[in-house]
Amino acid sequence: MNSGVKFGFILIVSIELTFILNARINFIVAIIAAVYLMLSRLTWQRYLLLVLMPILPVLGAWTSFSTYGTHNMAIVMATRIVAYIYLGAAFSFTTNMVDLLNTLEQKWHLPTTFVYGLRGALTFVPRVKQEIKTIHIAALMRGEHLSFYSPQLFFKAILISLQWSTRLSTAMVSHGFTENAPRTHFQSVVIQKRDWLIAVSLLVILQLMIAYL
Amino acid sequence: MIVTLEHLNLSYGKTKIFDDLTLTIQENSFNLLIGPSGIGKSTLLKIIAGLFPQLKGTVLVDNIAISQLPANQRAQYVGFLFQDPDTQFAMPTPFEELTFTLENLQIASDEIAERATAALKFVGIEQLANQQMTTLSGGEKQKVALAIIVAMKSKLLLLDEPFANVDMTARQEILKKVKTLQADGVTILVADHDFSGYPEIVNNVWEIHNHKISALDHTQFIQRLPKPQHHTFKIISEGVFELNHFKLLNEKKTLITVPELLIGAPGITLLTGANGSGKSTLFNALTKLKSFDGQITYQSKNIQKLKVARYVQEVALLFQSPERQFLRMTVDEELTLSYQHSQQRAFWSPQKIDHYLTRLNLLHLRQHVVYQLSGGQKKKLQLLLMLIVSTPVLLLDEPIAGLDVASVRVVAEILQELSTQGKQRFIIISHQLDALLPVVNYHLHLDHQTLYYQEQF
Repeated sequence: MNSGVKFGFILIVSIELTFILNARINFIVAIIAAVYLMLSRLTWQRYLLLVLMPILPVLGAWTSFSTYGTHNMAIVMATRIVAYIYLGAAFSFTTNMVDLLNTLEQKWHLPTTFVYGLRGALTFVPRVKQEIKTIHIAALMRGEHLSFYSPQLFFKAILISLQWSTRLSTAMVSHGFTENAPRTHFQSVVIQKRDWLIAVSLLVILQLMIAYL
Repeated sequence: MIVTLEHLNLSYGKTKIFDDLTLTIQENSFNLLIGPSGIGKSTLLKIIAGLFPQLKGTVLVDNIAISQLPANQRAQYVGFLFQDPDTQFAMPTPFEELTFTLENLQIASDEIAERATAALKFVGIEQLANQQMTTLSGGEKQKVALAIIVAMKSKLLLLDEPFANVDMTARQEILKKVKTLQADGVTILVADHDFSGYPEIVNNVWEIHNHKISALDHTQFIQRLPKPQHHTFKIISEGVFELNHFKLLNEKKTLITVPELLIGAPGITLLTGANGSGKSTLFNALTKLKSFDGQITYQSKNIQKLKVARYVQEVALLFQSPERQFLRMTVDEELTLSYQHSQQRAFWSPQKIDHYLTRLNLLHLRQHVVYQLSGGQKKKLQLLLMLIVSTPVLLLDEPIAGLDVASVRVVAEILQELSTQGKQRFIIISHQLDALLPVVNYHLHLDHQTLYYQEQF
């Protein structure tokens, strides 16, 4: 499914869930999200994470609501947490950021400054990690030990990112990037009718369930 | 007239950079811009590129005040190749950066692939199109940057010390491509400290001097060129490092294999080799920043078993990028910090530090913020800081890249003095050999994925 449509669809479902006190609907949403995740062929570490991650929040919600609220409420809250976690994962574990940003730029007309600022930042993430390690050893070589919580380490990291961002924006400008000017697109994002159809049908089914379950 | 600058004035605070500077550059010419570091070469290029819109004076490119144009139109007049190869791309691969650029210029989508491929082909880097930028060497990155300018079809090409981290072979390849561009009608202005390769191809040489710019004629320029040199080097008999069955990989690609080798004799060892061959990576292995196969011992102790904090007091690295080594705000604070941790405090008295500051032409900058120094000043300060710390072994990664001729000479002298006094042992990676070769004792060469000592140069 197109990542932009998926994003919108999951957002609407999540908002609806906050207003519904129905454990069965939560449960069905969680199951559908889980099936989608299983079909998405993730790594086993991710599946393990999906099994382990809900345990603590579900236990916490369950005990506090069953102690201070009703048994019914406890079930609703516990299933809601599972539904949220799986919905979130169904988006974040299966979506390519670049695809999403391309859709946001081309179909949702988000400002290009925002889209390319983010894309530029994404390419810098792996370098930031390496840089922190390097700053640490470079400081040791001058006789200073910077612990991982040291303000100086963060100061250096921020300073270097600021410099990178200035240079990056100069470089982008010199490559013709103009804030919010029209651009052509080498790869046009096409949203298939099928994607809309799936999203809309699922939403209709959800409304029917809300009405009749 | 492709470039016209008239009555240009610029100051940073009280420091005057340009005073009523006037310059005209002929269309379709090849121009070299020279002058010591910190004199304003980068600034001048940025002014011509229209990146200083608030400036007093007239700046015209192709008779247009280009600082007033939006960036996507400006790119068709001016292409800029920056000094630091790492921070000139926003996208993860060369092909994506090319499409990003062409999209910005609003090139029709069915033309983009064709133009991108043609540009890659012109520079001869089709095979790099879909590689991650982070895996490319400095020279390869500069070739990608050039391909982008070719794709933009800019009329004026500005290069700001583009070869500071690029080896001889790649440098000649890039210069040749740039010269071909001139034949196609492009005007070229390049700022550089290293003059080799230019006399045969430049039309004009410009020198910034006394806040103004003047032309240098061909004979004057030839006199500035370094003389050809021949040198012999010693054969190694002792060294602090011993490599055994050593193997260095970079993302599954073998960079270096060495059965047995001594490194780190007293004095100065020069390490040379092509771009991307693994010289910096070897330094990272020697300082435990990168893992490797086999064994490295330091004074007969396996470095894998030594604690990092303890080990770096013996073996330190002068990083290619000086900002990584700065920890305080001002020059003075940095010097104090290095003095506190110095292993030779008796030698590095305040008077001695002043003496070296004067020689490096940094004395007047003591109260300056380190991050606001020019590229060359940062490098010289970084070097002095690491010399004051005085670890027994110092690895220097491109210590003179981007320095002017006078500074290079001073740095070479200082390294020679300290090593002959036995203060520190130096191992240096450098591409600029003219000033270094006379002071070097050992020459270690990296070629065909292995390391060996050379006796002649």
